[in-house]
Amino acid sequence: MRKFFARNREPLTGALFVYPGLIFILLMIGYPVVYNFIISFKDVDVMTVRNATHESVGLANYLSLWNEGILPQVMVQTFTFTFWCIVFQFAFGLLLAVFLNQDFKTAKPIRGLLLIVWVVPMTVSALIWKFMFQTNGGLINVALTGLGLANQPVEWLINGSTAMAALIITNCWVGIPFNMILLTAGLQNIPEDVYESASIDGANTIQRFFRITMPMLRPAIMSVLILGVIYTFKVFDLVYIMTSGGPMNQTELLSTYAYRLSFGEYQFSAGAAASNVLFLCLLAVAAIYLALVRKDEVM
Amino acid sequence: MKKMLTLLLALCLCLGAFAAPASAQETLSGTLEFWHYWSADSEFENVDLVVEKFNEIYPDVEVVVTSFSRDELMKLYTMGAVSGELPDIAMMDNPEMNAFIKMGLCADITDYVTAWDQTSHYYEGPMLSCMDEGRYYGLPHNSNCLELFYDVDMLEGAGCTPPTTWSELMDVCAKLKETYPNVYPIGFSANNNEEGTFQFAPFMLSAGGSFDQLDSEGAIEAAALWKDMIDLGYAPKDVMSWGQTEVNTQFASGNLAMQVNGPWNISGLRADVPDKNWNVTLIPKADDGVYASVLGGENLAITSACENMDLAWAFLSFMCNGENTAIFCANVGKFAPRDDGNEYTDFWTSDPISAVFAEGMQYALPRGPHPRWSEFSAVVSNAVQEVLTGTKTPEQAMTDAQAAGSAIMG
Repeated sequence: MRKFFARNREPLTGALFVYPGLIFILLMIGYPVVYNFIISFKDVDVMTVRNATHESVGLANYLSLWNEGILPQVMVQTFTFTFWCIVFQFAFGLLLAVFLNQDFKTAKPIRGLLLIVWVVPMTVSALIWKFMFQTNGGLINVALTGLGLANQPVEWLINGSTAMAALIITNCWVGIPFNMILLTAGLQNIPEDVYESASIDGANTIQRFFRITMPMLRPAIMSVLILGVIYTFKVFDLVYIMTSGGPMNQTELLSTYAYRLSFGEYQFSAGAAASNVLFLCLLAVAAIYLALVRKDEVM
Repeated sequence: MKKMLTLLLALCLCLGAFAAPASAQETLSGTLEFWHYWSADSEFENVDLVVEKFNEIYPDVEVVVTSFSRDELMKLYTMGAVSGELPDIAMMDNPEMNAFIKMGLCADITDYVTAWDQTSHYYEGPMLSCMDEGRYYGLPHNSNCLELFYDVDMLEGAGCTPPTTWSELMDVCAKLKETYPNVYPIGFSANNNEEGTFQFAPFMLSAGGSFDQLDSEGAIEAAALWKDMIDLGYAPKDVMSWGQTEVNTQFASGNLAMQVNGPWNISGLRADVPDKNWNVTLIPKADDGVYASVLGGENLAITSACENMDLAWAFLSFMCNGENTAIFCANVGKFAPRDDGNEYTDFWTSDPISAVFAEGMQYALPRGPHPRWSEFSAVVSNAVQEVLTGTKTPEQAMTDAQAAGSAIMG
């Protein structure tokens, strides 16, 4: 026995480190995921939840969400929301990161202040922006009409497309500092001498940015984008507070839709099906990320 | 020997069963969990008050009162239906109670309720929301309804008296709009959840519509009335994103001259804007219709996870007895769902504003009861939004809603 321990000292120590965490993850994350998949193939709703056994209905829950529910619309909205959020928050995050990476006195304080935005609880931001987006007396409309940019107040949260725009603007406001800080960390990892030798060779600012900064920032950019996609795709509190999916479901996202089905309408199977769609989408993103990372490591 | 023991045990149990009702007063002891989603200070104080009074009679019982936000509590109940983690006594919103009964959350307390000498005091509407297939699953605890709040000074300034019919309402709105161009004459909640349905109901019911017949003329007229109020600028389009709390805030800050809202706002308005001169009148009725309102309120249920039913019933029947119900409801600005409230307090007759709501209570109709009410309610509030945004005509939206609604309600 002692010999066994002595011989396998290293693997055993490793196992002791790995297995507690692994088992914990399997129980706390794996079990709900599996359970969610199981009930999405059964018929569990307010009328049947107390039955001892639940009828298996195959893909019926998914099909009915797709055909009779608003799943296709919700998916399009979720992708639209995610796409524009990522585009804007990455672009502005990168601009700010590069700008604040310059050597001037107030760079650090400004960076710190910007981060406050990200630290404020989402609920608070959502409420404040909801007030600011009010048609009458909302700060944004007062500013727009005051500056002569709009003739009459924009009905931000009343129309589907402007409500979506309002959500994207708010989410970007929260997301930009997050992007900025991760990209700043990446920028600071780029050694100064690379730039020096490049300028000696006669590279101008634009060339330096696209030939040095961007390629060397690649790992940071990738993690920012992936994290951004995941955070944005599953955003919930923001939408729930600002529009709760309205008007007429036009800002319903997969997360709020799943919540509404399960906890608002007690259609547990349908809700599980909707959240599985969300899960699969994020799984695909994660898989792409892993593939890209592996490619990088090979290179 | 074993047989003997069994017999003895059985005998003891029988004796226990006979003895229980008689000696319940002294012997009850244990712990009771009570979950609620009340949020006002006055409500917290009055729950504590009831518990204190209960402990004077039953000193050995510990009542643990826990408060949650509404959404959080509904979520906990839903999860509790599967996991069984539930309190002994649970507070529920009356339209949702039926779903929770169907989910097996509530214990059948028919034997207790039918044997209780106070059961006959309850109004039918609230009591029905506690029942399913003829069985009792809880007791109504408090009720409310919606009426029309108005700014007395503004109405006088515009030379109006409080409206009683829809035509008068439109008249008053027109005059208010002319006199106060920067103020919206009226506000209500038309958001895409239960609040939107709740607020639309009085108008629909007044014109002869009903939840069973969303495509009836009355329901279409009510939707058209709301649409007109938006189109004419009498109500802001923002009502589609406002919950009832936001409507009240807008009224309090003077952006609305009138609002449709409930009695739970009375104490807040008195405290926050003491100088505002406001009053309440019944929601105007359709020109050829009747006064109508919608019943809101909370029920208390003993959950299926409760292990000591006698104890739970002792507390439930104490909290819901005539005196405690009346005092609680009067202190927090709500209404007793039973006919003997005025015996214990003169709040609903002496306070002129509460008197209006008290009158409105008799016109208040319940929502449901139906286990799939929430699903159905989403159809109604969505239809209203389709009308208000102009996506569909009132006829089209309500006809579609009827088709979708009847598929849900079966």
